[in-house]
Amino acid sequence: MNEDYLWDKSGEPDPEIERLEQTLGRLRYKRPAEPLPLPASTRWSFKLNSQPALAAAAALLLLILAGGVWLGLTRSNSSEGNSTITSGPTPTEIREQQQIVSDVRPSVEPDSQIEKRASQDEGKVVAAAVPYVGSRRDKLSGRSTGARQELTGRREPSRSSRERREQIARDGEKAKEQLILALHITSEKLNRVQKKIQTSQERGPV
Amino acid sequence: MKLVMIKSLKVVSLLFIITVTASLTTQAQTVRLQLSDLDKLESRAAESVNVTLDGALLELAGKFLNSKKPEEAAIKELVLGLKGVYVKVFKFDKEGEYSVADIETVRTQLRAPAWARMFGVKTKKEGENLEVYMMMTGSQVNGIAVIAAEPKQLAVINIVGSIDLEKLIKLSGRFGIPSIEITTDNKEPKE
Repeated sequence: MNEDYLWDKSGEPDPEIERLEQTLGRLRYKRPAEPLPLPASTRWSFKLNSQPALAAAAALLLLILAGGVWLGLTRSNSSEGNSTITSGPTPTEIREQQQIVSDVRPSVEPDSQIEKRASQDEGKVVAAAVPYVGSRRDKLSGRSTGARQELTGRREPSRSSRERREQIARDGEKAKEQLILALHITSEKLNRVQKKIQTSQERGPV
Repeated sequence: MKLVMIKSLKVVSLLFIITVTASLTTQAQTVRLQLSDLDKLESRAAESVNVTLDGALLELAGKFLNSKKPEEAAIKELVLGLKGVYVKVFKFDKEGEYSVADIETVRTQLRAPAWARMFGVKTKKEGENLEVYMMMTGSQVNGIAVIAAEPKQLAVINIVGSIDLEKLIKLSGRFGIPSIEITTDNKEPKE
């Protein structure tokens, strides 16, 4: 065998070698080499690294949710606590009143409600549910007026703030009357239950 | 194995937090009863009273109570722990204008485990049924519900928040004003 041919293809080729080259030449590798596959231990450590990331993402999401709930609660509490009648007009007060307006709900639909008028002579309580809806409309119109005044540079701030204060006073009085009425009704019903129980106890078992 | 345990612990803790949050939210919602189904009775009622006071409105009402007047001072003291007051009263011209089914939606809500039926007075002669339910946590009252069903009158009351029942009962007769028209026509039994 000519060993030079095997080394640098010089000299006469061996017929056997030539035959082998032709046979195996068809199976020559043409694609680029694939990347070396990572061993199993490296893949496992990659999964381990993803766990803390998921846990951190979940914790962050929970924190954001809790923060949102807390902010919502503190905003509603601050608006309730700061709402006053005597304070002067400020953008903060306008926002607070808007908050009160958004929390106010009309107690009944005006069509189905029968209004009870208070007579000064008789001294009866007013169950004012119908005017309450009107007051809400007044509040809304007052809010838009206030907004327009803000846009135009507050032409009449004292008048709008006075109107607002008057509106708050009216709403407060109506709410107070409704509260007194509601508690009076509740007290009366509980009183009747108490009396009936006492009566049945006095009669004793049959 | 260790990683599987850590992963499962995280899932369990997350589920626990969600469950606790959901249960707290649910409890807050069950104290307040849904009375909107009773609104259909307004069209049949000769007179009706509908009071809905909660949140800022309740606080506003409390601010307008005069501490110098003894009656209003008593109410102001009562209102301190309240979160909502919901009252619906319907007075009808004749009997049979409402049925037991109309109140059933309210009673279904009061069958929840959180509510306890404290008093129930049924008078066949007068045809009235008075029920008082309370939601309590330990010794603290978290909510009260009253259903007063009479032949010509129906009253459903829901008070959310902590309230002193004894003081509330004593309020009756302290206002110094004549009784309102909403009171029943039935005579009180002689004692």
